[in-house]
Amino acid sequence: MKAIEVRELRKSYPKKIPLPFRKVQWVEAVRGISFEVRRGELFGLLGPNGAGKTTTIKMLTTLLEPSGGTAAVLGHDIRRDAREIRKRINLVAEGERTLYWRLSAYENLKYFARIYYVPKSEEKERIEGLLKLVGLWERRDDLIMNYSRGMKQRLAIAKALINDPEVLFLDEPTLGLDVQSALFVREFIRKLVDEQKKTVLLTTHYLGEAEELCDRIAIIDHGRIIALDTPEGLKRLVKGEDAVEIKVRDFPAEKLEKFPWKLAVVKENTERGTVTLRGQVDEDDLPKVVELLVKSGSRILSVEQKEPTLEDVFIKLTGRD
Amino acid sequence: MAIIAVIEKEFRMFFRYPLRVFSSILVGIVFLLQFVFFGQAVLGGRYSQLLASSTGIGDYPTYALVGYVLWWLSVSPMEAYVWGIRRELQRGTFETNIAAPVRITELLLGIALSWLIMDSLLMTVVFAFGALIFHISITFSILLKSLPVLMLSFLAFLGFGFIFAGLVMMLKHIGPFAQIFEFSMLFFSGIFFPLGVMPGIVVEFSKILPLTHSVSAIRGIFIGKSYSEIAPSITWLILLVFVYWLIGYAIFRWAERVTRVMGYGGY
Amino acid sequence: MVVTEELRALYGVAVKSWRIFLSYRLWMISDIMLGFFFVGQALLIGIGLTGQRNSPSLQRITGYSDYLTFAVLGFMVLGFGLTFLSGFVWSVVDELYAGTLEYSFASPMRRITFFLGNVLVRILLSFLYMAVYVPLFILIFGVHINPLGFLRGLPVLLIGTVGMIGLGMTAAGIVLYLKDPGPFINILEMLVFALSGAMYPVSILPKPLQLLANAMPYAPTSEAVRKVVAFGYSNALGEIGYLILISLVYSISGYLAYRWSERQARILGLKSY
Repeated sequence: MKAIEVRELRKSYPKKIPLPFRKVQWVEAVRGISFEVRRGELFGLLGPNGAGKTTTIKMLTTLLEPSGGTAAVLGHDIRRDAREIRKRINLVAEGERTLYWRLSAYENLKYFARIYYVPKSEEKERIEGLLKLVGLWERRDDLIMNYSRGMKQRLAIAKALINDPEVLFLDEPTLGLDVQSALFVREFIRKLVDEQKKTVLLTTHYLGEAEELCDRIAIIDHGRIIALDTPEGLKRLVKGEDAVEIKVRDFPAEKLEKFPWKLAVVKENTERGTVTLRGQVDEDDLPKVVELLVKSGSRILSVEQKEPTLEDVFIKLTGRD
Repeated sequence: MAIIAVIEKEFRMFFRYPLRVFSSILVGIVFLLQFVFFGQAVLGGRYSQLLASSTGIGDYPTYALVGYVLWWLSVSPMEAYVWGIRRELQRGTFETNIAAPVRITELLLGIALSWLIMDSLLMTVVFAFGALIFHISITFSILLKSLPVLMLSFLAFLGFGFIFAGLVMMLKHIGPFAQIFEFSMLFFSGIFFPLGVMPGIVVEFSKILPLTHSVSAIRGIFIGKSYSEIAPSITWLILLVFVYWLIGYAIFRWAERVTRVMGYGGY
Repeated sequence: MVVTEELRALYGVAVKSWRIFLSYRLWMISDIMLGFFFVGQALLIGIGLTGQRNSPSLQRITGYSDYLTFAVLGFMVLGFGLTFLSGFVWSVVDELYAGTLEYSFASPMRRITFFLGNVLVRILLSFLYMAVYVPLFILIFGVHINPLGFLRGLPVLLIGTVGMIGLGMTAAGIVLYLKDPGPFINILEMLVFALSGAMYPVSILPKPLQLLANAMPYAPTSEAVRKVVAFGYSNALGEIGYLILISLVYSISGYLAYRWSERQARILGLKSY
């Protein structure tokens, strides 16, 4: 049995509350996606903001009613067996206000232990274990409002483990964290899969994070999955095509769309007025690209060949960074 | 029991800030004093012959205090949904709760029940304060006799308030609407003045509000009426418990279906 | 030009404040309804208890036999006062909670400009509410307001307003640096509510509360306005004199609190929530 099976899942949101006798317009957020996640796998949904990642997670965690298609989590249909699914999964939602700021870390976990039906005999031990695991045991009696962003996220992860879930959903788990906290979270997630054999589905818009963490990645854009493979498999999509990075000054960004090659701005230094462009360009085409750039009024500072990364796959598939 | 966990959480968050508790009690007292003092200033004393003949209670402070405390408790479940749930919706904690395997109805009722218990505690203080400064004599037997009626009223209030649980989940921002509604109840149920001064149609309408019957039953007990004498009010209350729980639940189910399409967050 | 620059800033603050108001349209409706509940309640209590529109006992204590007019005047002073206290303080505290206050304070505009810009909108709004209330009260509740008497009361109300703004600024200056401003403002509002003399003459309160009531600008304003409306200026000189004194005290205290909070902001910084 697969941990997660998704078939042609769709979701449209009404623009207004659909009251009886009211005509409302619907906006498509997810337009028929299919994928499977194996048990013990760390699966990533990678895509830009607004691609439909959060909507997908909310449907799979039974928080949102799909508009079409089917999905099963641990063999249970997400429409019919919501309660059974909820007992065996958990999630870290996006944002930093998902826990009670006016309660302490310990009180928060105690509350969630109860509404997740953790047996009373295990409650104390489990909370202590989790708080120690995420390194918050010493601060267990402090109110969350006094926590840093990184500590809040660590507690949110502890909360997500309170019912010892078989499948864990993480929505942008490192968004807005400082470097150390993000590192801690990433290592922690990887350990959950490697050591505790949890199944994890995470969404992210950080390419590096997906490449480093995930066993398999689905790239999602405009509500559709446009590629699905292991990071290596995805990189093979751009193999043979060399990645080129061109650093220019005085670059008119609006010209980029009319270029016959898919180039994306990967770095911008407004202070110095320089821009770094990246994309797949054949050896034969390189002089033409340079010529076009010069004609458009930019000054070339450097041209470099690079090993292809996930970023190149992403640029090739979506045409943007 | 998940409902106990919800109550414990609400209690912790409320009683953690003594200043907040104090300010809530003060709000309760000041609001009461405004109208009782006004009544007394107009009346030039505390006893109104007219009030006695139309309601059976002539002592204005007693009349107002009983009505006021019950009014406050009757809107408590409504407030719990309109403000408590809204706050969780806004902050994002509501979704974290919904994601748990616990039933939504249990979560919602837990919040309403916590607020009702907290408000009962606050109102006990306000009532004691009111009884003290207005020299209202209360006997133990009156309190004891009021208790079953109070419990029945609570059941009715919870059902009545549940209508708002569904509405707030779906419409999210209904604060101003709820405020107007809460203050209208002061008029419709005859809290600070006898209902008799209102037009007949309003008096008839007021019968569908549980507060009207709850107030009239407990005021009856305060002037020494027996249960059989207040039986009509109690019958009404029992009937309204069923009616409002049914209506409240139906609206909630519908609102829940709509909300699952819209999303619980979305602020 | 320094003056025109500051005026432009003032205008900017006022426009912002006004826009934020408009975004709470529904609340404005419910606020206006509150006035009708208040006055309607007073009328029904009076009729329910005495069966009449006049109260001899109120006449004895205050000189007003028409209890409804008495309550309406009190309510208007209270409504006016609350726009300066809660409206004003909340608008600042809400910005503090939302995190936008720091941006306003970080701008080169004088902080007094920020406060005054907010106050300006409140004054406008209060007059707007009054323009809605007065004709409707007369129409619906049959309140007797003699237009001449009413106009006579306005200057007195304005004198009181100076004190109310002072108190509002004192409160705003202080609450910004409290750990949890919300309940503190609530408590202050309730004190004002109970001691404003809107619904009953403060003389029926216990002695210590009477002293407290007269130490805040609201009750003296209510009393002076009522006296002037009913009996003219020459009979209310004592009340007016006292009101001027109180207003003066509070405007000084408001200014000092503002200075203090400006210094405090540099030392402590604003809290973030």
